Amino acid sequence: MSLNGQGLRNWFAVRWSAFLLSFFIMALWETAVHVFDVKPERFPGVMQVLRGLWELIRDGRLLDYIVASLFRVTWGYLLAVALAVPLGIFLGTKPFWRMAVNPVIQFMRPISPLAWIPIALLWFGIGDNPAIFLIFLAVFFPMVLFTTSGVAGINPTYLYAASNFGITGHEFYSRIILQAALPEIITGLRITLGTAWLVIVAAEMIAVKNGLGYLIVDARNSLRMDQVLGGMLVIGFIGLLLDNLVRQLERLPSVRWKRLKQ
Amino acid sequence: MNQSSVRPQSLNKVEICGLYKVYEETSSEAALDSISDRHVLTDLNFAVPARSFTCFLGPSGCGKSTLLRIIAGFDTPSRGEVLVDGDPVCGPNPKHIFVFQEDGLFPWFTAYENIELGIRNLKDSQKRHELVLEYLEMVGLKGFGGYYPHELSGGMRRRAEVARALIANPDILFMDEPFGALDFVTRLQMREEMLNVHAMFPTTILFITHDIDEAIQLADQIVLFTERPTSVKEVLSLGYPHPRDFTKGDLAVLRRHIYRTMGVHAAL
Amino acid sequence: MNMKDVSAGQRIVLAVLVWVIFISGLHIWRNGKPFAGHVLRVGFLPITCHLLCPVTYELNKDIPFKPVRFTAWPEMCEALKSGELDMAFILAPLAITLYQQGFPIKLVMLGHRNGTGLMVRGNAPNAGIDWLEHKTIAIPIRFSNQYLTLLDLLEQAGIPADNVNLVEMPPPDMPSSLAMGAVDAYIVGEPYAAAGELNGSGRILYLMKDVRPGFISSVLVVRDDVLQRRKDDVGRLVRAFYANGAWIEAHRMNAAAIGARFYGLPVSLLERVLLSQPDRVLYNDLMPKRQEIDAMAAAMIKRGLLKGVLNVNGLLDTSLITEKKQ
Repeated sequence: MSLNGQGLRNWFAVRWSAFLLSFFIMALWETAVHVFDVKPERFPGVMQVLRGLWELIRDGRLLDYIVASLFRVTWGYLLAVALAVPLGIFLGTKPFWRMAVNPVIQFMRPISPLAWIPIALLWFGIGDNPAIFLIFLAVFFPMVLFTTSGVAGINPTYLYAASNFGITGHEFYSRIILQAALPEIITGLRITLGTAWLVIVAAEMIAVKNGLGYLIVDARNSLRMDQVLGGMLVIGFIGLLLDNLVRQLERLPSVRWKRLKQ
Repeated sequence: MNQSSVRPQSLNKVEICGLYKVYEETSSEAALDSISDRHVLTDLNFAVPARSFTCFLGPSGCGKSTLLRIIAGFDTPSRGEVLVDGDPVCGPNPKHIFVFQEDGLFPWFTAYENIELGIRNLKDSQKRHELVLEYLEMVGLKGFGGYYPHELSGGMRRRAEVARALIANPDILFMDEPFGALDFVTRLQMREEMLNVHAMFPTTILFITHDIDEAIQLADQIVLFTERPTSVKEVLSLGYPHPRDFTKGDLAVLRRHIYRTMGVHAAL
Repeated sequence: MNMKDVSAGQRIVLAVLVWVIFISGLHIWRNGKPFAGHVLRVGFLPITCHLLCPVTYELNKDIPFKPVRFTAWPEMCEALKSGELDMAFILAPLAITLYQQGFPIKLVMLGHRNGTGLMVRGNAPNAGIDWLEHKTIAIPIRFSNQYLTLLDLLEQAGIPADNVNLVEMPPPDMPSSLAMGAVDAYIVGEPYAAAGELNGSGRILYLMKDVRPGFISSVLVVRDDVLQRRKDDVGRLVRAFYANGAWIEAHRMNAAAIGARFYGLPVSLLERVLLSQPDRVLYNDLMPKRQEIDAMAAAMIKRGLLKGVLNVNGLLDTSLITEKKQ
């Protein structure tokens, strides 16, 4: 992002248009609710949703729920990444193991984490742990695949050059392999973080007593559609923030090279 | 193996003896002898004098790159030997630096960091810093050390890679069509710089090109290769001084000879 | 790592660590689970059949227990099996099934009687039970007395089970499904029958008080191991539940208020259930009778939900509510 006058103007223009668009959509929504005389139990308008949200903020529940969801995603995600990346590097550099393990991973990946719910409850009871387990599953398998693919796809020239200069061992893995695969790994990080956020909401619809997913279910049970929608807005907003966070990583100059090559 | 009794002392840096290379290695010796289209290199025998600038010249796809990689230790021959300083090659060597056709620089390191790799074993960080700056300036990249390869032009990338190679003070410099991706004028400039490099540094240079004029400009020795299955057509010695004008005299004759040998008649 | 990014890489790792500590601390502080070691955990769903739970929680502050709220039956079963719950208000056929599967529980009392309605679409004003033939009817789960009784009622009207289309659905979804026409009728425990009335989507075809007086929906079960180890505590709690049945009968309006607050439902809904008709729900006869459980098991066998003979004596344990207080 250039900080000259032109660049700065563009940056603001983009943000401002996004804001205007959202505002316009909300205005449309509120108008439609009034024009079609929709009952608030069926589909609340913007003002009601905001009021419902304000209730949740006031009694502290919204913060508690956001913290709970973020906590579970944090642990599940980080644990999965911490295990998946080294495994992916190992598999990426050892074709034999890659071929042996790949069918297992490809088999596990399409099984929705939500299908694991009964097992999660059985093994981990109720509370944070089953949710963290589900997040872990949702992130681990795709991250292994992303990392493996990133490592296996490293341009062999880099490897020749590395061996030419006598780069081996720990330095080889951290300064060459990891760096070369980093763009794809970061793509994986971004995508799996999105998945994790999706899964946590669903995972919290059972067996936990807090969290944003629980908010949706609880509000629905209490016939509070305004809070259901409010919860959805919060979920969407946080998802957006998380995505932008990882996007920053993609901008690092030592990662940007891959995209420019494409 | 006791070299002094088996082999006479040699002034050759690199010796190729009876080299064959096939795709799909077979264990059968007989299969190696019956030349087929799986053969890339067949029965290569030649030598490279120390400190010479040797060009491998030949049609595209004739295995020059494969041969260079075998000499550099990235690949192994199916039969025959490659000797460097009298010893068989057994893998890549930090004293034999390879400059690649493309993507030789690590894109996640800056030019500075790439070049620094050549002297990573130097303990004194101050000395390393000075040396890197010196080489950056030497190849005309002063001030560009902090740039990433994708921020540099093609020519600048080549120069950075050459700096990385030279800073390691290599005995042998392998160059695989290093100027192929550059525009014409830059290519001519780089040629001139290679001559400077060869004059300044006591290395043996093995240089692949398919550009006949380039080879004539640069080389002390040209090894001419045939098409696949590749063997050595001819080894030419060019003891001519630089700068070389191949439009007249012996060089012009040599040039015509090479063109004809390569099967091009109308180039002149 | 190259020079510029050594700091970037390290900075990122540091930021991640700081975040983990921050969010974990925040979570433990705000959502901290007090170590529920000695407080009995009782599972419930926000339905009137489990009203004893919030009422006791509200009234009997001297008997500590932890109501644990669920939104669906299978999750509650899992929690009960895994030991996260000590006791639960659970559908009677589910209790029977769990017991038959070898899971050791004791059925100690009922939740309430009646308190279930069969609703049909509001725009079918003259519909009788015959109208239900070939229609789509929602049930909470097949392991429910609602399901068993529905099939009985249909059979009595000469409609075989194959001639209706039954779907399992969470009770809170039923009123809106009826409104949208996704289902033609539903049978469910209160307050979701009343919810259908109040939102105008449906009308009552039958209330159990009229066609099956004494209808049993949920029962209270206790894990065997908890009962063995904590007999006194469990006994005190169960007796409190039992006694509050009479309290609810005498204080229906208050009970509705407590329920509405605890469940997060509109008071008008709870009042409709508790006040509109005197025996729409009954809390005064919570003793489970052997013949009733036998009959339910027989119905389950008839409908293919149970195999083999049920050892009712092994499941039923009314000693807690008949025992004199210590």
